[in-house]
Amino acid sequence: MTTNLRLLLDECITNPLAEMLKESSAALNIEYVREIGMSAASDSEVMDYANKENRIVVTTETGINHVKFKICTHPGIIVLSGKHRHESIQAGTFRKFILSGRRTEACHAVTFLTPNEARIKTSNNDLVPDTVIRL
Amino acid sequence: MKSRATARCDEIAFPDIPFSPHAPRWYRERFVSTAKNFDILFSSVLARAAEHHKGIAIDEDILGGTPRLANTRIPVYMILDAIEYYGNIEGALKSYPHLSKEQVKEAMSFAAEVLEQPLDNKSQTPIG
Repeated sequence: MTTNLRLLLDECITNPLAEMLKESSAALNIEYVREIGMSAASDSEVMDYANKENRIVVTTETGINHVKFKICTHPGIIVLSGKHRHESIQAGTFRKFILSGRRTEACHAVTFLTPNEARIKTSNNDLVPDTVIRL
Repeated sequence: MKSRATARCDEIAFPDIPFSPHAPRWYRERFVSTAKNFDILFSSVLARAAEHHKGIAIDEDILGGTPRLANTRIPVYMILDAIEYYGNIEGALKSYPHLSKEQVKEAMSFAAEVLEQPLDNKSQTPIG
């Protein structure tokens, strides 16, 4: 069973962070929106591409989330959130999540990554509690 | 047009609080360098600032309407974050090497125009 994550990095992800993620783990298979000619593509176009390629979209706090794109209608979304959005901090957070042993839980879910925790929404039903992984 | 005597009476009514939302508009606007519209919605402030900055775009379908650099999916706030972290414009260019210095300056100028807008706490509807 493979535990590789197929990711699509949004253009708002900084270049150094993209490079760090590409080099950080063989468990990550990465494409970058900017490198596939989708700069200025609409949110829906990015999600359509991610669906077609079976990739989890990695973005910052923008309009791509579980409210606009219902859970289970896409391979997954990872939102890098929190006050500290700089690449070195985000790269450390991402690395901790990848090494947590629970990275596959990000599939078909919406994951909000902060320096302290990964909060994973697995359902649009508010009665279903989020999964919280301390990082 | 108010007479000098009427104006004096209003100054007595609102002596040390020229920006009070309770003061009449003509009175408030005497104390700001340029005439401001205190009743404008925040979304209108963003739209007007974007009109003045051709390098900035706002589209509901892209980044959920977050102000961004035109022809990219890079929000203005990420540019400001990079400048905050590195302390200079060159820092933003490290984060996004394909951008030009002019684009980074455009983002800063846009943010400055938005933040220039005062809020009238009485008449302004909640932001967000």
